[in-house]
Amino acid sequence: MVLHGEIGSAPKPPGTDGIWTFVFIDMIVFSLFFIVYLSERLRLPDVFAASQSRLDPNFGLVNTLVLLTSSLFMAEAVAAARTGNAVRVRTRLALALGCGAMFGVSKITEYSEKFAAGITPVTNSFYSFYFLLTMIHFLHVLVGMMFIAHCLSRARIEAGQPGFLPKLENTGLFWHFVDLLWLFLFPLLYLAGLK
Amino acid sequence: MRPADRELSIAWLGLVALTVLSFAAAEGLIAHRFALAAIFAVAAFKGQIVASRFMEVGHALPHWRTLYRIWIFAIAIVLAGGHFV
Repeated sequence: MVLHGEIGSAPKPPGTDGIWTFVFIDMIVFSLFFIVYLSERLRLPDVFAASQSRLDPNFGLVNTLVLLTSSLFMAEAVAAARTGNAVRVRTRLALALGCGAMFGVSKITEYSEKFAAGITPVTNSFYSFYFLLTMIHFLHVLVGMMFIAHCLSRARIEAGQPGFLPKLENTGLFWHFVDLLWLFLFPLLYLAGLK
Repeated sequence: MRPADRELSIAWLGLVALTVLSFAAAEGLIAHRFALAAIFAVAAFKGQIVASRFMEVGHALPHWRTLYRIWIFAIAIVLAGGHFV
């Protein structure tokens, strides 16, 4: 498979070195959150089991499918940029952004249900982690959406110019990382509590 | 459809199928001790698909390629192991 439109040479690494570093630091930070979560779960297994069983796994499933789909659109936008198809870049970025918005609506609905039921981040240790982990992840989604919106607004003018592709690849790498994190948050918070 | 787009679509279909399967397995089999381990193993596999097909980790610099792939497996092992202690 030829990537980046290069023929007869090794493909250039996608994105800049800085984005790979930034994302990996973020991975390490989330690893620490996960380890502290597991240690608290060991201390309070009954609290975690009872609280997890009150989460609606359908929200987790829908959010996973939405993020996976947004990742597909983002990857297609990057592939289109490499072939100089500016129209496809814009449509794919708009679709990825739409999926991000759907994730946001789903998350806010889920939080609203919890608050309406009297569940807050200080209800117990599990819900502290649930809100902390998902809200930090949601913050990543919002930041990613800002980057996508920026690329979308600049695509008409900058697509095909030398600086646009690395910017789009960086945005894509960050967006896929947001997806990757959710792939582990979904089973950890939602599926592990099913009976 | 261009080959690159076809590969992305196939990867996405695989990810969706694995997600639905692991959800169904969790709903029906989570009482089984090893079902949870299988669900985290599927998450790791999905993570590798996202890393290789969407993030193109295979084309990253060698140290990032190694670190990202190791992180995905390591975090899955930690998360699964944490439920067995």
